[in-house]
Amino acid sequence: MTIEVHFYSIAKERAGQATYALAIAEHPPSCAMTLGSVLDQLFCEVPALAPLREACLYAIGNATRVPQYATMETPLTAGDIISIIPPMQGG
Amino acid sequence: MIEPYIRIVDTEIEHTRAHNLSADAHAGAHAGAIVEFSGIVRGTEEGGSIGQTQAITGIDYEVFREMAIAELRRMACEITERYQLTECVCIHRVGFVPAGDAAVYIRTTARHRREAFEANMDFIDQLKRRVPIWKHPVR
Repeated sequence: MTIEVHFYSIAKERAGQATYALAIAEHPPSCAMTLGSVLDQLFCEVPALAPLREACLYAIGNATRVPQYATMETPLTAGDIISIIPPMQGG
Repeated sequence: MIEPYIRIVDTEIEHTRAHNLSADAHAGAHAGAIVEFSGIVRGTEEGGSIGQTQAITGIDYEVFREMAIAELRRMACEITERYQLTECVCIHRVGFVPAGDAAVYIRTTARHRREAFEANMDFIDQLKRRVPIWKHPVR
């Protein structure tokens, strides 16, 4: 299964790209895939992002659902898109 | 509850147009205070060293548009309810905004001034924490 990841601002600069396709091994039914477990894998594959881990917020959406902020325990399913949101500076 | 007026635009913020759009809210018997805030792009930006500033021509605002609109709307509904607003307007400009131009405009209308002022301050404070928009100063 593939989870799509979108980067913004400094996360995009550090990743060197705007999106990343994360190939996830199948999880057994007893072991739900969560945002935290997927991020562990992402930060291993894209180590330049690791220093931002604590500073960022994370949102989950998909083709039909507007992204919403999520916690490390939020479950993920196929088709979900993770957005990595560095500290914001609007206004 | 009233429906907040939320927009993210790529061109100059048109205050007059925003006024007209919500003229009904002001004309009603419930509004006693209107507070407007415009966030303007400064011509300088803090540099690397303490106390140093450098001239910029403007700021390029990056936005995660789909989520920013949803989050602004959610925020506006919460604030409208909390302060019993009769009107809530937020227009945020994105892309390149030249120094001297407004990047954000917030208008809060309430029965009394305290609620209108506090709601406006609360809105901009929350916007900076919750809405996925980022600044990239341009020299």
